[in-house]
Formats: sequence, C-alpha cells, structure tokens
Amino acid sequence: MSGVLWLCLAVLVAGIWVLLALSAAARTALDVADHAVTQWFVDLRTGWLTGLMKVLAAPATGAALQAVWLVNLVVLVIWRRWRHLLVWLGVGVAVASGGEAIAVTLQRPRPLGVEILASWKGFAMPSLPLMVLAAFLMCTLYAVVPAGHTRQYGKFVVGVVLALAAVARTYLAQDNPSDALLGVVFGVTVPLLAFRVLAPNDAFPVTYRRGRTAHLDIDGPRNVAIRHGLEDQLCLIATELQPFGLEGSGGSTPLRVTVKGDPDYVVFAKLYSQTHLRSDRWYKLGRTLLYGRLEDEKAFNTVRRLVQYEDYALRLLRDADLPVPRPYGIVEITPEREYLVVMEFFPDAQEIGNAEVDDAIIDQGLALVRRMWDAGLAHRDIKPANLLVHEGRVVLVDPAFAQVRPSPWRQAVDLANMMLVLALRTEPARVLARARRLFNDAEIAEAFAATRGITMPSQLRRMVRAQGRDLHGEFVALLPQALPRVHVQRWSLRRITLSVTVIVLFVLAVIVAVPLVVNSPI
Amino acid sequence: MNRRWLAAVLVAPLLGTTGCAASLDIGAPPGRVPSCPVSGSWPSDKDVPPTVLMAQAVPTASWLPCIAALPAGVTFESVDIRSGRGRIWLDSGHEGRHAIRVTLTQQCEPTGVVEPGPQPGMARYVRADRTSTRYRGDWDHVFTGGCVNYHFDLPVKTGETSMAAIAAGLGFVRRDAVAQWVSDDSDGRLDLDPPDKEEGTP
Repeated sequence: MSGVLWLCLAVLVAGIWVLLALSAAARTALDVADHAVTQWFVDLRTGWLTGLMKVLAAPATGAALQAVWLVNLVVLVIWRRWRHLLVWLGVGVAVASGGEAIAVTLQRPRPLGVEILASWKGFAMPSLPLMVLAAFLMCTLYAVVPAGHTRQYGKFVVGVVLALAAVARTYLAQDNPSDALLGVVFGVTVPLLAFRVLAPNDAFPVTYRRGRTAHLDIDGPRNVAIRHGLEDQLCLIATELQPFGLEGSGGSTPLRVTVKGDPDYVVFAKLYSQTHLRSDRWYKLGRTLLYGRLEDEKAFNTVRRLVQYEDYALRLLRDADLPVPRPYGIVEITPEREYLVVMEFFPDAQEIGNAEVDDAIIDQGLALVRRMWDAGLAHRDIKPANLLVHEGRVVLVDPAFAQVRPSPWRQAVDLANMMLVLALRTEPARVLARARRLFNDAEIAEAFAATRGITMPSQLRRMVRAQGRDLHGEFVALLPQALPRVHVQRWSLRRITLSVTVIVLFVLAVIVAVPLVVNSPI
Repeated sequence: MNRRWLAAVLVAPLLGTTGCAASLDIGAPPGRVPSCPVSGSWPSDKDVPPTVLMAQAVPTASWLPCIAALPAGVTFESVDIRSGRGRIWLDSGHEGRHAIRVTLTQQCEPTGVVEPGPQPGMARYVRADRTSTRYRGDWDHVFTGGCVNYHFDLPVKTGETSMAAIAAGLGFVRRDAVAQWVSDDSDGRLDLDPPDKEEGTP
C-alpha cells in the first residue's frame, strides 16, 4: 500500500517537473514561493545554528554517500546477496544520473537573493544530494536490514535523517525547499518500487543465517505451497518440513518431509527454483571455460526440464536394477519457477565416507559401476555424499548429472572415482583386488588414466587431500599396466569465443565498477 | 496481468525517466548554451539560467563568461558549475573533445604578456607554448571580483588563428545585466544577490 502511495507521489512530482519545464510562469511562481520559505530560514541564521545545520547536512555530501554505498557493497558481497546488489547498483545509477539529467533539463538556479553558506554543484532542481541520500538509505533498508521491526525502525530513522538534512540544506540555502522535497520523494520511490518488484522479500529475504545462498527459505507462503502441492499432486500429507543436509548440497534445497501414515514415514525432497537453474548454468559455463566441453555441459533452460531430468534419471537407474531411492514424482510449486522432486528417504543411512567399509560394501560399489556400464549409463558424480550405506546395502543417490550412452572415458571416470571413494576408508590394494574380479586390468588402467583433477568431484578431492595421501598415485603404482594420462582440456571455437566474451565482459565490468567504487556518487 | 507485472509497468516509465540519461560515468545531457545577450537582451529566456548559476558560483564576479557566436567547427559541449567555480567546455571538430575550457573563479594567478582586455576594466594575460605538434596556452581575464581563464590545446598548424576566432566568439556579460534579467523575469519579486551585497563586489 505504501508503495502505491509513493508511486502516486512520484507521478505527481514528475508532473510538476514537466510543468516547470514547459511553463515560465510556473517556474517564477515556484521561485517566489521558495524564496519566501528560504528567507524565513535565512532570518533565523545565527552562528551556532549555522554550525549545527552544517553537521545535519553532512549525510548529503559526496563523502558520506560514498561511505553508505561502500558499506552496503561490502555487506552484500560478503553475504553474496547478488540480486540485492544488482538492484542497488541499478537504483544508484538511475537515481544519480537521472537526477542530474532532470536538473540539467530544468536548469533551476540555486536559491536567489540569499547568501549560500555551503558548497553546491550544478542546477538545483531536484536536489541531487538529497535524492541520492534518500535512494541510498532506502536501498540500505531493503538490501541490508531484515524485514520486520528492525526495518520499520530503520524507516523512522531514515525519515528523521532525510528531514533534518532537507531542513539544514534549506537553511544553508544550498537547495530551495521544493528542490529538497521533490528530490526526496523521487529518491524514496525509485528504490522502494525497484526492491519490491525486482527483489521482493518473499523470494529474496534479507537474512544473516548461515547457509548457501542457493538454499531457499521454506518458511511462510512457500511452506504452505509445498504442503498443498504434496497433498494435491502426490497425495502425501506433510506433517513436517525440515531442511536436510544443506551443507552437502549447493544445487538444490534438500528437505526431509514427514508424511502422515500408519505409522508416519519420511520422504526426501529436493526443491529446485530459478536460482538453482542459474547456479547450474554458471557451473556449466565455468567448466566449459576452464576445461572445454566435457560432454553434456549444456545447461537446462527451464526449472521444469531440470526436475524432469532428475526424476527421469532416477527412474532410469531404478529400471536398470541399480540401488537408488524410489521416486515419488514431481510437485509443481509455482509453474516454471519452483518444483519439488520427491523420493524415498533412508532414515539411518550413512554416507559411505563415514560408514564401515568391508569387502561386501566394496563389491557392491564396484558392482554398481559394472551394472551402469552394462546398462549404458554413467552417474558422473560419484562421491561420498552420493553413496549411502543403508542396512548393509550401498545406495546411489543424486543422479542429476547422469548420462545415457556416455563415452567410454566418462564411464572410466565413474570407475576410478568409485575406487577412490572405497579406498578412502580401506586400502587401494584391497579395492584393486576386488575390482579385478569385475574389471580387467586395461579397464582399470584406463579409469585411472582418465581420472584426475577436475574429473574428481570436489568433495572427493577434498577428502583425499584431508587424508594427506596420494590415493590416485597409490592406485597407479599398484596397476600392472599404466596408460598415459587422458587430457581433459578440449579446445573448440565455442570455448575460445566464450572465453574472449567473458574476458571482455569482465574488463567492462571492472571499467564500470572502479568509478562506482572510487568516485563520489554526486 | 498480475500485480507484479502491473507494478513493473508502472515503475518502468519512472525508471526510464530517471535512467534515460544514465551513462557509465554518471553523466548528463549538456544543457543549454550560456549565451551572451545581443543588443542588451538574450535570444531566449532559456539561455540565461546557466549564466545565473555561474553568477551564483562566484558571487563576487562583476563579469561572467558567455558564448556569443562560435566559429564553424567549434561547438558547445557542456557546463560544469559549482560553488566557487564555473566552467564551459567547448569541442572542436578538428582539435577534439574539450579542446577549449573557459573557467570563472574569484581569483587566479595570472602570468604572461599583459594586453588590454575585451571589456572595460579588464586585463588579459596571455601565455602560450608551441611544441612540434601542439599549441597550448592560457588567457587569463582579470577584473573586479573574478577571473576568467581560457585554456586551450590545439594543433600547432592552425592553433593561433583558431584561438583568435574562438576568443572572438566568446564573450562577457555584466553581472548587473544578469541581475536585471532575474528581477524582470520575476516582476521585481526576486533578486540575484542578497540585498546587502552590492553587485560585483566581494
């Protein structure tokens, strides 16, 4: 409601500006009215009051505004609130340059017939310092201050600061009263509407809780929508929704859902949104830039396709007799924006990296790879977090990257990664001995020739490093035959073009960013 | 149309209004040319505000710089006026962007050859340097309560003649003429300067 009010005020202000631009009589009338108010302030001038007013006007100076901007920049970068930062930047540039453009168009002088007691720059209408101050403070409220009581209190503080600065600048005759008033109205309205439209609190809440930015808040309206979706579309009545295993997931928001039954049971759900789609795009773009196109790096173009693919992959692996969670299906939360993939949950399962690994587990892990090879499939993300041990049985989860009819190289990578995972809790020699029962020496040698660096999931690389061992080297030393390393760098016109484009965009971003950081906004 | 789209449609013109002149260096359109009056009056009332602002920037200045008629190829680029200083930038088709800079300040430290100024009570100090390619220099016009500096950086071949033509196209307007315009424009209800300040005096 307040947004509509401010929008109406801003439209009124824009109308006044148009009138002033077109009518000399209106300009003169406003000059005379403003002069009367300014003269009243001038008549109050005393030494101590002038000193006080200079202090009160200080927030609307270039240095203070730059400080506000830089503090916001630091906070938003640290908390990786990119959406808010982009809106902040857009509002800042639009208000600062738009205000200057309006001022040059209207060409209004500073207060006439009075002595101006402080510095100023450019034409007077609208007051650019107050307009930018209002915009920056509102941006701060909506990008940095959490919604609720704190923000409400902040609005009061912002109102007081703006009012005092406007009075002080009028007293000092830096601005005409109408320059100050109209500048503040516009400076408040633009960020208010921009944040409410482009970074609404429901979708982009300002919080300082720990966790990845990709994880969505499942409280409030989204919680209700998930419950309704589960009930309407999968006939599952959710009694409890809890974030689950957030630390191991960056590509979705994983949830543990308790479902009403006799007795109640638990299902696992992964919430995907456009944020995750963008993460997937950036991830694949990054890999393409760094290594070339390592097969199927094409990003999904809709959230719906992303979840459809994961659900399909789960069913495909299940049909191939692989030990994967039972899929329950997909729930549409918001069409084309948010979806839930629901599957079986293993309550007492342990990640293989934390479980006891014996020969039976090793054999199951290796058999799992053999089965995928035979079925013409590759998982492409074999790592401890995706291998669970449940009641003595190895379960493969998270098939979002799975590929049908992969190249032999990709299949070989799956094998080596599985052997490395199994060796984390045992010994390479033991794993190799079990592997030779299912794979020949050439296949194993090819697997270790293909696997190194980027082809190992980052969690696996981290865990190997944490052990202080060169597991890969230990395996290679044990192999009866070693093959030359398979190079993963793939050069193509696409990669070169993309790389050049990204470098050019980066340079442009730096050129844009440096003045925004270094220069005063007014 | 849902509420979000409706809001976006309403906000877009506002953002467009403010952002239409947005540029990477947070610039703005050039504004009106600070023209000199012709036969005692300005060609258009819209040409006066930059000169009024210039007068406010240096309240002591008895003369203010303005543009009379620039030679072909030389164009007005922008004004940059702030408390204590007013500036006019000119571009030259041959010599490039910001080839000539006209700056009004309260004081300056003039050096060079003294010549009679173009207006009564004004002295002009001329200094110029020639390199193999450039003709650079400053002309300082010193008068009661102010100083107007012409800074130029032109090609050596045509620099001297170009500068003479440009200087002929630049001019000065008396502060009291601007004050009179302010008074006339408001039917005597407004003044340029505070009542206790005499025109053109510190």
